[in-house]
Amino acid sequence: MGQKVHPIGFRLGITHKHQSYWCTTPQKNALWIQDASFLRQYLSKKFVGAGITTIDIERRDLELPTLSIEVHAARPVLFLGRDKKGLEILRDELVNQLRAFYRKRNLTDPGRILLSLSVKPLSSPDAHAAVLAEKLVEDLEKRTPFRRAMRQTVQRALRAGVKGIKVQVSGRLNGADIARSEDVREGPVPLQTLRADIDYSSKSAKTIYGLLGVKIWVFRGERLTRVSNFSTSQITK
Amino acid sequence: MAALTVCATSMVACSQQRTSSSGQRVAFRPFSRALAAKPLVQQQAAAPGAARRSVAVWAAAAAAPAQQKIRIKLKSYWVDLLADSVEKIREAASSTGATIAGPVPLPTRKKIYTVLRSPHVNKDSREQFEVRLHQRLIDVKDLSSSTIDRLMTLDLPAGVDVEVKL
Repeated sequence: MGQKVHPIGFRLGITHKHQSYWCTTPQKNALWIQDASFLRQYLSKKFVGAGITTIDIERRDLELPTLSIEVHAARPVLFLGRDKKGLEILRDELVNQLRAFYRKRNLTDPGRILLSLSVKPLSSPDAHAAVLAEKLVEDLEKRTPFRRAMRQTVQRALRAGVKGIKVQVSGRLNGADIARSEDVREGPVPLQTLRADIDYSSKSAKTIYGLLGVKIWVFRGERLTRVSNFSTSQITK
Repeated sequence: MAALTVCATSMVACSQQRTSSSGQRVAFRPFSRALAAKPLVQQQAAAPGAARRSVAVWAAAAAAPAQQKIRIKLKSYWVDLLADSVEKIREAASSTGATIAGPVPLPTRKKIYTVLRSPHVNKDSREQFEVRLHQRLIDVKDLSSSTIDRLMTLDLPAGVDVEVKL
């Protein structure tokens, strides 16, 4: 079997924007990468059911740590709550967690951290691979037959209006002794076309027989102009 | 379908900011941090070392206008951001009467990371990633205090690193 390049990594700067967004000296860069990774892990672990697709982190090289986090989620209600205060509470929590992370690494306390958090609900959540993958993982962990779960995923995506989808599940399917890999395809999924807008997600489902790997490729059409992070900066507003 | 954005900004205007901001303006911008420390720096004998934003330099520039020129080096991983930043600086300078020695594209630095593809053995099969750092150099001459004001309130996009020298 040939090994495939990560479709999103392949298309950074062409049909996908970078999710972490800054430019500094290499020493600070290393620390900021740790911070970003920590924040992403914290958010996605804490709010598993909310369907978080991307977390854009933007950062500026100023005296106080200045971050701007934009979370794209399918069901933001789950981590915001019904009241308006949910966002403020979450933001303060993130600041505290980040400060604790600084302490854990024995770095000097950064003082005041300026964090701007915004949550964007997705317009059609089922057109995103991450949301579909999460749902499929849930179904598999509930022990639904995998073929039916896969076909339901494909149906859901097609109803949301994607041009093509490929769903692959690997592992001990239905508890079999011998692991195998099965996939369901619908419509075109041109992985070799750079300007194709392909969303990819890979998650694992924990079952009593072990892990089932789930990979979903969603083709949303070709994008003829390159995408760029320009003019979507949060901090400049 | 209208996209709802719920936004909570916790930026508070710092007391160091020279121009007073109203509402929810961002307190810090690349140039302003250097410029705002001007009153403090003039009391110090010598600023220790050369800060990245060259705080002492800005003070000197503000103190003796119209003869000095400042050198701005912009670094970024994204070329379109650099183009936009250059335009903003050029506009800020030209509208206040300073002249600009055009954006000189310095050589792009490429950092290449080569990693093994396989989790175990297979030394000959690798994968390479690169990071490109684009640089631009701008000289701003015939400074006036209004130029410095404009540059101070300039909002460059987040992915651009700015270095200012006299």
